[in-house]
Amino acid sequence: MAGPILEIVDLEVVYRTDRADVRALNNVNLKVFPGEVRGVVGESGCGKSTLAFTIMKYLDPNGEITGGQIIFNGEDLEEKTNAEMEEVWGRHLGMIYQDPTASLNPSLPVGEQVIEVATAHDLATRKEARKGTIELFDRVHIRDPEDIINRYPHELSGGMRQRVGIAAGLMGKPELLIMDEPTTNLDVTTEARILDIVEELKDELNSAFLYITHDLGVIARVGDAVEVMYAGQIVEESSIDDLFAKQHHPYTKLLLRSIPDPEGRKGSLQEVPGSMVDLTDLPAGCNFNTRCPYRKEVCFEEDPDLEETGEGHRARCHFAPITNATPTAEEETRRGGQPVWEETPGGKGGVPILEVKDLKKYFGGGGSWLPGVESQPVRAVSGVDLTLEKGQTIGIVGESGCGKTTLARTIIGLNEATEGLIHFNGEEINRSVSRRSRETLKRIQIVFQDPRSTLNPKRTVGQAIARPLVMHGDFTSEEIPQKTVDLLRAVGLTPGLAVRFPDQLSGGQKQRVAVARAFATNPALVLHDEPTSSLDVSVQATILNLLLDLQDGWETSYLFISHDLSVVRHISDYIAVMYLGHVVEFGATEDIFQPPYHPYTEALLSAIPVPDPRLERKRIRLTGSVPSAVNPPSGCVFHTRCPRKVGEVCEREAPPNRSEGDHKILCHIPKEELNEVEPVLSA
Amino acid sequence: MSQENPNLAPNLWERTKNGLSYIVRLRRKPLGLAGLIIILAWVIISIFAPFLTPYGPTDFSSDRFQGPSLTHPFGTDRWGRDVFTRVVAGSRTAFSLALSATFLGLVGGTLLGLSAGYFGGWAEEVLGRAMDILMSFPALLIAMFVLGVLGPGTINVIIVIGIAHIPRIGRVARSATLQVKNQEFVEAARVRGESNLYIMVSEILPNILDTLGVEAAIRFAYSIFLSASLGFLGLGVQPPTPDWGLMISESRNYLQTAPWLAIFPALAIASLVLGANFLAEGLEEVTGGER
Repeated sequence: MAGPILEIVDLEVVYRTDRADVRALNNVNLKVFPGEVRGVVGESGCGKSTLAFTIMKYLDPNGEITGGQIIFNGEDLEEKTNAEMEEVWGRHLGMIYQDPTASLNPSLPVGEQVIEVATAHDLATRKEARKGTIELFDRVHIRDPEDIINRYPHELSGGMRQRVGIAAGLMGKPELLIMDEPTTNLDVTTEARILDIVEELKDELNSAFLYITHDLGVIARVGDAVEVMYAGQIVEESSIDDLFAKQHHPYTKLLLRSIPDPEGRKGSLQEVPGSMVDLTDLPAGCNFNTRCPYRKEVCFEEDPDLEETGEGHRARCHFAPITNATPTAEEETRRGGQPVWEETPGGKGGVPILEVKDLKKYFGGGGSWLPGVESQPVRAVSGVDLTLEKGQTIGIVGESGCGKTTLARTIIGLNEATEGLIHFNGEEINRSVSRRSRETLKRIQIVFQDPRSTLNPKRTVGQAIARPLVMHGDFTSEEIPQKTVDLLRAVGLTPGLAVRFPDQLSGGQKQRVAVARAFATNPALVLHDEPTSSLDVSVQATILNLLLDLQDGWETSYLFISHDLSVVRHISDYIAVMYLGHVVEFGATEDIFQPPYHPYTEALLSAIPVPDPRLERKRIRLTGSVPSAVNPPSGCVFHTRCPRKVGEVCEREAPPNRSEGDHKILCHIPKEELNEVEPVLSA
Repeated sequence: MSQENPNLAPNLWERTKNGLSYIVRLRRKPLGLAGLIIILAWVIISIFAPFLTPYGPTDFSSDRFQGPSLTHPFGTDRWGRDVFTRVVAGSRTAFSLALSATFLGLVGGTLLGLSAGYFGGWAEEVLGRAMDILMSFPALLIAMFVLGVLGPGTINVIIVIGIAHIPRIGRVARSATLQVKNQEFVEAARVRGESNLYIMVSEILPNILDTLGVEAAIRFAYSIFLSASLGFLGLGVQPPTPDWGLMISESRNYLQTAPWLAIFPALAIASLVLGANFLAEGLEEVTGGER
């Protein structure tokens, strides 16, 4: 094998801030070889993006390289000036960013931005570069490249823009291409297609790729080798197959087990105890010693080195490989779940809590004061039926724009339904939140997506949790502090947090406070709108465990919205798959994950990145993007993208239900045929 | 859960953060710190004004048109009054006028801007356009017109300047409200069944106070400026009250022979306006950025 294209030796990076120095990278060593995709995985704050920006010399002004070398193509990049780097950027070293909207110039046609990579480096004449761009667009599967080349970024979908970004990155034929979470902002079906492209390019080109991601499932698909980072250090390095087969570092092991398995069932997920160490105040000894279940005395005294622990496998642990080691620290005792309320009317299931019938929510539309002008409404939710029983969970999945969030907001009353019925505890509540009864308001609650905005930054945690107790007036002012503390404990937080402000909490803690606030009024139904999608996987595991525990103890019903099928599978009893405002498939969780499938569910299942490189699966890819909800396709709304389209009937008629009992599939394909479809996932 | 710390209960409501933390953070911003020092200096001067000089602001004497000297550091005017005493005393006039006017504008602007931003719809449209109209006339022109009708006087000046501030503060309050009102904690309050008044006062207002504080500092500087202009035009505070604008106006005929009559009040105005603007700049930096 040829020598490495990139070699990083003992790299150290520090960010200087008002308060203290943040040690973002410590003693990082890695090599990238031509023709390989080397993954860098880790949770937020582990230093993976800093690593990318340091290599590119794009470090923030307050960032400083305090030690080590970055040797690229035999040259030390640190010694190069920005003027010299201009030769390197694009031509030898390229980067693809997480957000293609921000990395493309909105006032230039996208083709122009790819062409200029070649012309700026005098690699080609304009004419040749244009031809090259069209070829590249074709290669990253952009249809009609001659047309797209003249389009502006805002005219393209997110997935298209990311393809343009990849084309721009490839244009200079760089020896090393750094990809920083290129699919994180994309829908899972779009992501699958981008990952296909990366796989193809890897086979065709002899370039090296450094692929940065938080998603072990993604790296399992495209990576050859992987570096696992924690607290600014590489803690494990291995080939992909080896890593997923046996982890030599405790962090990697816990991390992999904290991911809900798309094959898996309800049950507790592995939690990584504690939280990420403070990079301004690293512990003595091993950086992971604050959270490690295998720690012994030596871990607090000596910092382990990244050492060979197997063939092509390195780990930074005194006891690596830990495959045979036994945990020394006790398993975290399970917390939460104890009901704070004395009386909970008994029995799970049977009693319908929420019934939704033919619910429609349209935005805008209708006439105008100008004669003859009539605008079409956005049909966000068009005819949804659901029945949710006591203590059960319905998961709602679908890609962005499918109407799942609008559905939740309409049920809770933040939107007023356009048509249809919502029954809660047998009472009709088909109106907006300001006109609902006190009792109804108390009994339906919601947990939102964004931990940064879910709490009022000017109020303490205690105030946030106590407010619902105060306003609904079920308790005397003497009882409220105790109830607040009880609620904090129920969500696994220490009572001392009550005096903290939200900016002093981690994302996971904020989300726990939001859960406590939702449970403060003893709700019968809690809607969860992507409550874990902006959290790290290890934190997600703790929140999902908490929600399941609370449900067991309080017999609360959940409507759980997520784009992540694995998460929904983990937590739900029933799943509704939504597409363009319609529920296209509904059924018990296990029925959704095995044939018969709705063709859309089948495609979604095929697109999920699974953290297991050995898993075989069918490759089903959707073309195009989700049509506009202003003018949805006639007949079956999925017919424009359906890989199993029957024929003209799909465009003409609304699809009938093709399954029986609890399971519902709206499709024109006969049931017998759907039954014969092979499973998507097989070991 | 009986082992619960009994002292915890009162702690639940304890606030550990307050406006002081911003002042503390100002120490790293040279410009804002300079502004703060200038303003504080003027505050101290105005509080202790009567004790700083042996003269009274309206005491006549026979020492007319004296140049700056040890007995009269800023000289004397045509009635023999000590200019230093009058500049110092004028700071009280300036502060009381500007603070009241800023407060009036802040209350009115926040009330209108917050409700316009929160409720949206036609109320917002009407308010927005009304404010646009008010803003399309120079504030000085409106002030001159209104004072022409109402007659000059301290209270009228405060009202006029305060009203002139309302559209701008209202606009700032509205846009700050728009940024906050769709955040999830506001929706959580709506879902809980909170009243609109509670949401506006307890959920949104605390989160736009930072922005309003910066705007208040800018409006304060502008109030000083506007009240001096009105004083200069004779529409503001009436003689013999010591007022900087009025003093400059009275000095017009003696600019050649007794320039100190104009220079010192002008410097006073400039330093206070500059100080308030620096402070606004500094506050914007410490409240805006996370770091």
